[in-house]
Amino acid sequence: MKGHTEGLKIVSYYTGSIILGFSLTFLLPMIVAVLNLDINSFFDFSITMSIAVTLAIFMRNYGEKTKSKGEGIAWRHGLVVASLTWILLTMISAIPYSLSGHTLSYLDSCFDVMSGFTTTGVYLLQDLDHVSQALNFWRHMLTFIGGQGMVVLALSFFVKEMGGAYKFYVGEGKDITLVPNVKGTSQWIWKISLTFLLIGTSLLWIQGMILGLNPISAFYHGLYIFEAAWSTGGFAPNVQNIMYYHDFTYEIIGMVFFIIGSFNFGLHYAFIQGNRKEFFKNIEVISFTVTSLLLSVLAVFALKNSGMYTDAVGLFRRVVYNLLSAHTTTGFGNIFARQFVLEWGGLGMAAITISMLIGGSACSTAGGIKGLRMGIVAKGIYYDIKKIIKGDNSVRVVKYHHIKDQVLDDAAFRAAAGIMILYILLFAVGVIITTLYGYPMMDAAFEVASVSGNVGLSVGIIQASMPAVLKWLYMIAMYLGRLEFISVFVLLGLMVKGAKKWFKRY
Amino acid sequence: MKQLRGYFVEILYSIGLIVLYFVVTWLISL
Repeated sequence: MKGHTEGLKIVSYYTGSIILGFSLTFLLPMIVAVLNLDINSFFDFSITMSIAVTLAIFMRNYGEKTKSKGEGIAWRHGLVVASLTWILLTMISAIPYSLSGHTLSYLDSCFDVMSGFTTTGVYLLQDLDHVSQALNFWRHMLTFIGGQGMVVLALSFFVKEMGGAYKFYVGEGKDITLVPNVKGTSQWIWKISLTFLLIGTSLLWIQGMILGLNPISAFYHGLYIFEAAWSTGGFAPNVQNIMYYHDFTYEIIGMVFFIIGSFNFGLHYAFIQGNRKEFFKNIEVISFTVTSLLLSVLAVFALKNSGMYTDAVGLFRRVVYNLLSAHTTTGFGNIFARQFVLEWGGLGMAAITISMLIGGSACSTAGGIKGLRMGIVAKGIYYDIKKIIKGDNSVRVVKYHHIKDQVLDDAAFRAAAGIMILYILLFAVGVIITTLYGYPMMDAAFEVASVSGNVGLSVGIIQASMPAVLKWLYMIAMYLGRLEFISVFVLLGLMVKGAKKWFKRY
Repeated sequence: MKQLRGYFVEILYSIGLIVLYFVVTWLISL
C-alpha cells in the first residue's frame, strides 16, 4: 500500500508542477481583456487562474517529499502524469468558457477545450461571432499550446531539467529527441513554433489589411488563423471559418502553414540545421505526398464528374483545399458542412474520411494514424510479400529513412501496426455508437474520423443539441487520438487497480 | 541567419507541394 501512495505522491507533485506552470498562461488573455477594456473577461480569467494555482499548490504539497526522487520516476508515473495533466487542464481551462455564458453547459465547455488542446477544431460555443476578444484569444492559444503539448510547454519554460522528464514527454505522444536532453528538445519545439508564429502572423496580418480589416482586427485574425493552421487545429474566430475571408491568398497562406505544421518536429529541426535533402528522403514526407495526392485525385475526379466544379481553380479551392485540410488534420473548411454530404458523393466522402484517418506526421501538431506508421506498415507488408514471392528464406535487413536510416524490424512494425489497429477500433466503435443514435452511416463515419483524427471538419452532427453520450464519446476519441492510447490506458489500468485495492480493504 | 534560411526554405517546399497539387488538379480538369 505504501508503494501505491508513493506513486500517487509522485504523480501529484509533477502534475501539480505542470499545472502551476501552465497557470501563468492565464495572464495573456487577462492582458488582452485589459487592452479591450473588458472587465468581465478579466475576472473570468483571474478567477480561473486562482483555482488553477490553488489546485497546483495543493497537489505539489501533497507530493512534496518525492520531488528529490526525479530519477525514481517509473514509466507508469510519466505516462499517468501526461494523461492526468490533460484531463485536469481541460477541466480548469473550461471555466472561462462557462463564465462567459457562451456555452450551454460545463460539459460543452470541456468539449470545446478538449477540442482545442487536441487541435481538433470542432466547437459547441454559442454565438461564436460575438465571443469576447479575450476568450477568442484563449481558444486559439489553447490550440497552439495543445499542438506543442502542455508537458512540452512546462518543460520548456517552467520546470527545471530533471531525471525522468523524458517519460512525461513520451506520455504526451512525442518520441523524438532533437538534442540530447528533453528540456532542450522541448525548447527547440517552442523556438520553431514561435518563429513560424512570427512569420505566419505577419503575412496574414498584412493580407488581412489588404482585405480591408483595420490593423488591430487584422492582427488578431492573423494571429488566430496562424495558431489554428500551425497547430493543425482549425478554429477560427467566426462561424464561417476560413470562408469568412472570401480570399484565395488568405486561404493559401493558411494552407502553407498547415502543411508545414503537419510535419514532424524532427524534420523542421533537420531543415534548420541545413539538412534539406531530408525532405526528399523522409518516409513521412513520401507517405504524406503519396496518400494525399492519390486521395486528392480521387476526390477531384468525383467532384468533376458530379459537375459541381468544372474549372481547375474551383476544384483546387473547394476540393483539394478541404482534402488537404483533412489530411493534415487541420479542419479549416471553405464550404458549408452539409455540402460534404449533399455534393461530395460516396467517392468524395470516402476519400476525405480516409484522409482524416491517416492524418499528418508523428511528433508534429497533427493527429491521425500518422504518415510514419503508414510508411512502416506499407513497407513492411511490401517486403513480406516480396519475400514470399521470391521464396527467399534468408534474413535481410530492411531499412527506412526517418531523420536517419532506421531498421524496420518486427518491433517497429508491431508498434506501428498496433496503434493503427487501435485507431481503426476506435473509429469502428465510434461509428457504431453514432449510428445507434439514428445518424446515417456515412455522416457518422465522417464525424468519428474527424474527432478521432483530431481534424475538426463536421457534417453537422456535432452541435450543442446532440446527445450527451456522443459528446462524451467524441471527447474521449479526441483525447485517445491525441495521446495515442498508451498513456491513457496506463492511467485507466492504474485507476482500476487502485479501485480494486480500495474495494478489498472496505 | 543560416537557421532563418531553413525556415524560409521549408515555406518554399510547402509552396512547391501546393503547386504540385494544383498542377495535378489542372491536368484532371482538362
